[in-house]
Amino acid sequence: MKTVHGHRDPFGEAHPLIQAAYFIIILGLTAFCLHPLALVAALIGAAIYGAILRGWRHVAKLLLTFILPGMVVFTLINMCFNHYGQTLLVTLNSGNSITLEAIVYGLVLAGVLACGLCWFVAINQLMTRDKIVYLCGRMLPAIGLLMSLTFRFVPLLGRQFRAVKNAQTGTGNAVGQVNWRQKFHVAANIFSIMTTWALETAVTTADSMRSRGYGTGHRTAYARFHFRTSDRILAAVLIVLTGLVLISWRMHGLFAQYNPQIIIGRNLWTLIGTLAVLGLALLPSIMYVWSRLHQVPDNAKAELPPYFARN
Amino acid sequence: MLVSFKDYSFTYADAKTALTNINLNIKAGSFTVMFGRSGSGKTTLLRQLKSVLLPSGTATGSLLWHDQPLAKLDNRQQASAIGYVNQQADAQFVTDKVWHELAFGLESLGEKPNVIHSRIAEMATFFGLTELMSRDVTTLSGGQKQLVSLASVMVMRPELLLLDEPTAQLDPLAKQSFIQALVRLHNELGTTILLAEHELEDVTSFADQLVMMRSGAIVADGAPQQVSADLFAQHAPLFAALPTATRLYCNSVTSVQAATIPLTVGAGRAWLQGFVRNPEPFATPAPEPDAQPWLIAKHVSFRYSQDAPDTLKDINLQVSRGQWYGIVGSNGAGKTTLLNLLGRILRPSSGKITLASQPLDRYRSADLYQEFLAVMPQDPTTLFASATVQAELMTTAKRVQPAMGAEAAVSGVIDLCHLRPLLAHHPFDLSGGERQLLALAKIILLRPKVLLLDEPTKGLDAFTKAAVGSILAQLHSTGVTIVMVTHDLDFVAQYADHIALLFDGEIAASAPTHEFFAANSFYTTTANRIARDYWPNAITLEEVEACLQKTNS
Repeated sequence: MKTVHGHRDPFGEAHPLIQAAYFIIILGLTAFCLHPLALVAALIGAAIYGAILRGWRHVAKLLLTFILPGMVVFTLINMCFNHYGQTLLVTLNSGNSITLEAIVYGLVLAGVLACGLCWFVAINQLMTRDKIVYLCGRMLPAIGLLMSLTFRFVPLLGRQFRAVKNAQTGTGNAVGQVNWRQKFHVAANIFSIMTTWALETAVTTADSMRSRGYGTGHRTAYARFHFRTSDRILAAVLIVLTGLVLISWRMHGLFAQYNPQIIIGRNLWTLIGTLAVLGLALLPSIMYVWSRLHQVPDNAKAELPPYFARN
Repeated sequence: MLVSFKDYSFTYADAKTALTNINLNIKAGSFTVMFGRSGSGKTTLLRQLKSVLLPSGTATGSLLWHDQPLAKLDNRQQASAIGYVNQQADAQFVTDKVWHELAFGLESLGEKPNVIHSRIAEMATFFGLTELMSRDVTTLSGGQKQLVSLASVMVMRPELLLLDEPTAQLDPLAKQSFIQALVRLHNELGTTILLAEHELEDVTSFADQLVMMRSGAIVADGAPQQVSADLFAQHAPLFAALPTATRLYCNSVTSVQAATIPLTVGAGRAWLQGFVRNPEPFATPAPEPDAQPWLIAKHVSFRYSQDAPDTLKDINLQVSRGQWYGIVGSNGAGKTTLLNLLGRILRPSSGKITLASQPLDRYRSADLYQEFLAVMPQDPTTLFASATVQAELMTTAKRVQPAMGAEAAVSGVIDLCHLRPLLAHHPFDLSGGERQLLALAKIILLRPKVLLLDEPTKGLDAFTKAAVGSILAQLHSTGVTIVMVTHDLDFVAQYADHIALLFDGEIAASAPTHEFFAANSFYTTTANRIARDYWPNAITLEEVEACLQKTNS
């Protein structure tokens, strides 16, 4: 996987299990830990990594045109419909009141959503089809094969549909070419052709599967992904950082409550926990910067004498 | 013997006899080519060797594998010992990625991942597929797809490889490289090959054994040259399937010697060198004077989307009324796109197409596609929507004419296209050649004055190809204008009046047929390549034969 500038992205080359675990941890963290510092840390990490993968323009556009307005709307809605909390700000004519707690909680929830959306920039880029097939196949081999079959079939179906439509157009029998009374009949025709074709194809595929020994006994799953030393190191780092986050949570360092009263954890563990979340969120970006700083010499470039140089 | 059939017969569950009294021996390490018309039982015979693909029915006689009954081999052993590849490249893929496709068979056999890894690496290197490993199978070209299919079977290290018309859907270049891959497997790994094929031009010289089938029985079996000599002596209709050099030799010499029969262009040229004494020049038939231009494309360009590169660039062409216009060119040159533009399936990005001095855009669909213009697609099955051949034709006929005329029209077209015995069949149950004839019949029922054809001879056996040729020639003689896109140079040389060569989205050459081929030295017909030293302007087999006869009489 390459970044927006065509550089290597070391995290994108990690084992799919590591990547999946990472995204699950980070999304779980932002969804359940409502401590503002942790959310800000996760959001910063998401924005920076998103900018590395897709360019900062893309991330800025997403933040300014979609996420920030969304956050404002979300906060306003929460403010208008929830009236819990101790700190009354205004009491409306209807008897409902606007409270500080509802505003803050709305803001935090909006932050959670924003964080999730931002991480999906990276997730969409990294979790490609073959990785998803592989991960599902690890859980249940039959599901992995089924997904692979489907992913092969869908583009094939699209292409055949175009071919049928063209063939019907070329013989004056397409939906756009007949009067309204015949339109249904013509559409049904195309549907029938597609169905027969799909059945035919399915039979041939089944033949091909059986002739290559499918269903004759125990089946293994081959994958092109290998668990390398770097993946082991990465797994260890993930475990340590996640552990730190969980401990500080347990020690009320990342505790946050918004109803009926705002209580935010503030102790030494808050600092440790926030740093751990920040480390976790910035991990892919740190790996990228590290690889940019430790570049291997460009061996591919031939060292020609100066008179061969261009210009 | 690796395989031997002894007095083997097979009857389908519905009591229809498929194979009668087959006696066939296949030596380990041999290359056997089996040919015959479509529907002669080639596929059924191949499937006898692959129990999981066997249609339901009863078999008598014996079928031995290493001198033991084949039934002793269980399905798991059979899966790896006997490989099977057919012509439907897309449908025989199971997974979405090339590497997964190669791994599929070994996964099914429960091989360990590290074994699979090394086998895939080995096979990909042998076939030169390394670059393609992480590609999606849908992005491959037709030739690449068939090579991947072949490799995905070869990873299981089969002793016997069964191939059912594997090159039928490929263009000539891809066909050549697929056959080269087979020859390498045969020579370098000693794989035994049993290939069912109806296009013998390129494979015969590699075969140790040539087997001909007719209605479920083997009628000829032996070394290719001996079988050729026998077929010639019997005046068998399938003699037409043999390589051009072979046919030229047999038709021209006074007594056929099996040992000296040439099977390739090279051998044909060598024989001709000793045979021709003093060649008389061949008088090119005068091209028909050009009639009024009828279908005209002016400065036509086309691209599939705004930012895509041009598929066609500044195309200019003129088809006269009643002309037979051939468009040739390699894969991806834009032939089908051009045909779709002329048939108004696609609209040009710029430029103008006129038909009968009216812009093509100006016609109403109802006027254009009723008794005026029709396009026959490459894949005939994209036209079939009914449950039987009869119903298929009736629906089409009723669209164009009132009920009274429809019956008569259908009956006429059934005879023209040899569909009488097939009326009750489902269109999808027909063989490739029969499907093509049915599609042609449907198109003829639309009574077009301009007929646009996309690869009408793709994957057809020699017999059906000749039938399609003569049907089209009959239409042409009644004044129908034909525009035909094709890879088949021998076919286009025999029938077309004018040929245009499409290269990289542009028309690179355009001339009357004889002029066109006489100017090329690689991209020309087989007969012309054999005899061009003596008669550079004789392009069909018939013309070369006539020249030979005149010279040596």
